Amino acid sequence: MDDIGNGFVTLTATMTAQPLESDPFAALGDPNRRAIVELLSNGDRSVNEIADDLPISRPAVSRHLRLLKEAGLVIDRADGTKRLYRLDASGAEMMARYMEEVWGEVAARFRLAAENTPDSG
Amino acid sequence: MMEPIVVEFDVRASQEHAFDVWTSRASMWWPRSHTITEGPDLTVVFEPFAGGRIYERGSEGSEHEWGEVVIWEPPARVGYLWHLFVDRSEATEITVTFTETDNGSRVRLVQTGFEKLGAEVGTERRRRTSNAWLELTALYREVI
Repeated sequence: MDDIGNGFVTLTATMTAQPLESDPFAALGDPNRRAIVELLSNGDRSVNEIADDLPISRPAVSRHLRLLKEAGLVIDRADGTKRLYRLDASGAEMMARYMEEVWGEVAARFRLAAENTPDSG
Repeated sequence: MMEPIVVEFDVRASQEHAFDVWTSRASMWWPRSHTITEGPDLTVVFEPFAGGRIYERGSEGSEHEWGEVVIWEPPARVGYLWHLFVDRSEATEITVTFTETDNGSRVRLVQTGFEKLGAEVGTERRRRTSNAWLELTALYREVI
């Protein structure tokens, strides 16, 4: 292959992730949503329990949870009269997704360095 | 079972040079956002032998382990265990191969072993998965 022009021949990441309605990285781009994810990493919680620990209103927590759910990061279940939320995708899957992003940047920076330094071979 | 991450690309540099830049000159290009100290003067060290350490040395002299070299076959292949930001017991495995092409070389990186993150059952799994999440959100905070 002579795809030297733009460099990337393939960048494949074949995870066993199901299609998501929204991008989990975008979903994590908000500090309140990251705070919710961190709270849920300690165990299942209801909307009220989450709202008690964050400086935002209960409706705001509900909105963030809906986005996190659409991104495949949390799921909910009924527990009596409450609805409990927990993390969905495993930490392993999330780490794999994160690494995909990192490798893209790594590859680009590596090429720049390798192509602009005297050949050491 | 999670499938490996595969990243493959061409570079206008010889196989030898590509291998050398990837390993002994990683300080030049490794993204600062994906390091422990994030300092402008940090050094990334690949000890050039199987069993060698891979670590970051901060400008203030502190050392932070990133992994361990398991395959050292210049200029064709380098393999290592990688546990930057996670516990050593949760290291993933990375193999990078360098092959010659007509006008440079091709780099192929394969990363496997993600299932180790949170592979245990019960409480231990819960704890580890939680840790991975916390690390991930911490990482994310750093890269944006």
